[in-house]
Amino acid sequence: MKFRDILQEVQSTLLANRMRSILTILGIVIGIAAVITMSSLVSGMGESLSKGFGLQQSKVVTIMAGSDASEASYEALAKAMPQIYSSILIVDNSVSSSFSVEGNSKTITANYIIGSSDEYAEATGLQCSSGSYFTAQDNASAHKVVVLGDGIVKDLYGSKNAQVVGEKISILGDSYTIVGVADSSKSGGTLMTDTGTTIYMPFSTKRIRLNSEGSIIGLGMLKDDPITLDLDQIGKDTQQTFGSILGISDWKDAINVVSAASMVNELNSLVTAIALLMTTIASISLLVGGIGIMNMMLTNVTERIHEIGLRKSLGARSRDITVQFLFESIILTILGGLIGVIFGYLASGAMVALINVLMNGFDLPLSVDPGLVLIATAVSAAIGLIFGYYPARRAAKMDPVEALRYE
Amino acid sequence: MKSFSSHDSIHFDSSRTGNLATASQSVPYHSPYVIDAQRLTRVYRSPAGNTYALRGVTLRVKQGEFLAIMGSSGSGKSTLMSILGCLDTATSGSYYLEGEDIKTKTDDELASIRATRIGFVFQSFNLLPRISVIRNVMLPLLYTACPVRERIPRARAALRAVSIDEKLFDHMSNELSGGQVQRVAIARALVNSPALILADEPTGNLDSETTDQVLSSFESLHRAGRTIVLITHESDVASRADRCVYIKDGCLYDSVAAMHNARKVV
Ligand SMILES: Nc1ncnc2c1ncn2[C@@H]1O[C@H](COP(=O)(O)OP(=O)(O)OP(=O)(O)O)[C@@H](O)[C@H]1O
Ligand SMILES: [Mg+2]
Repeated sequence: MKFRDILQEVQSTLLANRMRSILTILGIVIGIAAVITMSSLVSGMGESLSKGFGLQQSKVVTIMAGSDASEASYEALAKAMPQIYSSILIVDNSVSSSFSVEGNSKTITANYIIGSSDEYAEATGLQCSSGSYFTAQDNASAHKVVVLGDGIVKDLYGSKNAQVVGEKISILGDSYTIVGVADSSKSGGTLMTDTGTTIYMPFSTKRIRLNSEGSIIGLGMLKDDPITLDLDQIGKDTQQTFGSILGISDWKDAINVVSAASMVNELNSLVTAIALLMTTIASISLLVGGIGIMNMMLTNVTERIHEIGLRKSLGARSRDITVQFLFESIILTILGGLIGVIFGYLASGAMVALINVLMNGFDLPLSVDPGLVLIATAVSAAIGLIFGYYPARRAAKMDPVEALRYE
Repeated sequence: MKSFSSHDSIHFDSSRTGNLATASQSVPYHSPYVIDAQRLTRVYRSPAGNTYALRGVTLRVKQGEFLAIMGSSGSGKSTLMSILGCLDTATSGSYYLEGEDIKTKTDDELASIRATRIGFVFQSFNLLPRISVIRNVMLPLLYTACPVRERIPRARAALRAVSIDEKLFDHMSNELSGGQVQRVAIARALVNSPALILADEPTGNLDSETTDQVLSSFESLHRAGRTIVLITHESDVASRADRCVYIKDGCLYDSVAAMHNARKVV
């Protein structure tokens, strides 16, 4: 029997029994739809949460030791742990009282200035919507340049997208040139700040021009992929090493080591646990769906004993009968799988919309994985094959004379 | 009486030769008989006791013959037809179909013989209900090497040979009358240009008028040179054949007299 003949025979049979076909595949449809919905919600959650945490920062470990830590001590720490950190960036994120910023003949109050090296932007995934982050030269020479969070640009110039690069603003009476605008929609909030309302300037500029004497934090850049690392252990090692560099004995309390990656890792294990639960539920519903298919196919074989006898008398070999019945169940389950995928995506779209409305300001993305369609199809086909095999063999083994005599 | 055009018969006979050419490769000798069965027995074994459905049936049918096998219910007609049609194998005895020994065949080989050399017409449930008439007729072609483009022309020719109206070709088979169903079944039996057409009580469910139409179809096939074995329990039907043999309790007789004599002996 040719493949297209098999498909045509299967098509007529399934169409002739439309209602039953639909009812039979319902189990598969629901199973697959549930998996698709759950998995796109979970991965959407994961995406949105890790974006919130600043996944780009997952390679960054924040090291804080209050006013004890100096530039030199961070340098010493980087030298002491070369296998762990490729470098340690120093950042002055000390907060003084709020201060006024003037620009475009407006005055607003800001309260957050980060003083950092030029590498900070790349390390934390900060992106500029216009202009660029300042350079190493700016830092070395303590140039009076700033990168403004786009929220501040909006407050001063009326729009996030105002062309402000090259404009001058005044901070505490001193004039600074704007070299870039930090894009808050693309850059996850840096560790303790909201990108939009932060002013960024070179570390030395903040120390020298603004006379900042606030504490310095270190951003340790992990050498290896954080997923592969024991971040708790690294945290302890860092505390201890830094403690001995600084000569403090109560390093456990005095030194804080925080990594975004450890939070992301925890999140990942949560997502994995949910995925596991989902897989179990899905497997059960697909198993039930498969048994439904088997039951339907067995009924089908009994009802069509005459057809089987007739086909055999017309020259069908056992193999032809097996293949015909097997394809009936496989095509049925693949169809169920595809319908399930469509329903699954519709349902996840609806759920995402609902969550975004209910949780005001929450922007859950609809995460659609096209690979899932392939997997769902393969899984449904496998169910059709596994649960359709026994009924198909039963049909094929039928004695033609008995089948024709059957009343 | 609806008759069968000579054009159709030529068409079939030419394709028939094609089929024979491939089949003849394994034919050990050229037999003049389409059916050559010797001392066939068939025993149905069951815990309740054995049934001797055939007790040594010897039957030879020549190419082009129209034979009727007559017998009452339970006499073994269907059992014999299953064996002659390679659906079943005899418990003992020998059966050569066109000179080929059936006993040595595997199940797949038997299926292929049914697909290419035998056409069946049954008493009932002949057609698959929810597909069209023409697709029903094409069914046997799915199980042979018949090229796809030849299927529809062959099926149409077969349907015309049994005088089915063209308008009905695309109707669903469950929309046909009993007589039409049986004629479509004959067309299907014909579509592979088989060596042998076997019909088991094809008119068993029909009234006398439609019976006549169906028998006319067989007669025209016979005139076109087909070999036909028709099983019936009605003497009216049997009388339309060239030759009639009688079966009773699994034994075959050449005449009614012989059958009665045998009964006296027992
Ligand atoms: N599968 C079977 N198992 C056991 N006995 C069988 C089987 N098939 C047929 N028989 C018996 O064999 C005998 C012949 O049966 P068969 O069907 O050949 O008769 P028949 O001449 O076709 O009768 P009918 O005119 O009623 O169709 C009967 O006694 C029947 O009961
Ligand atoms: Mg019978």
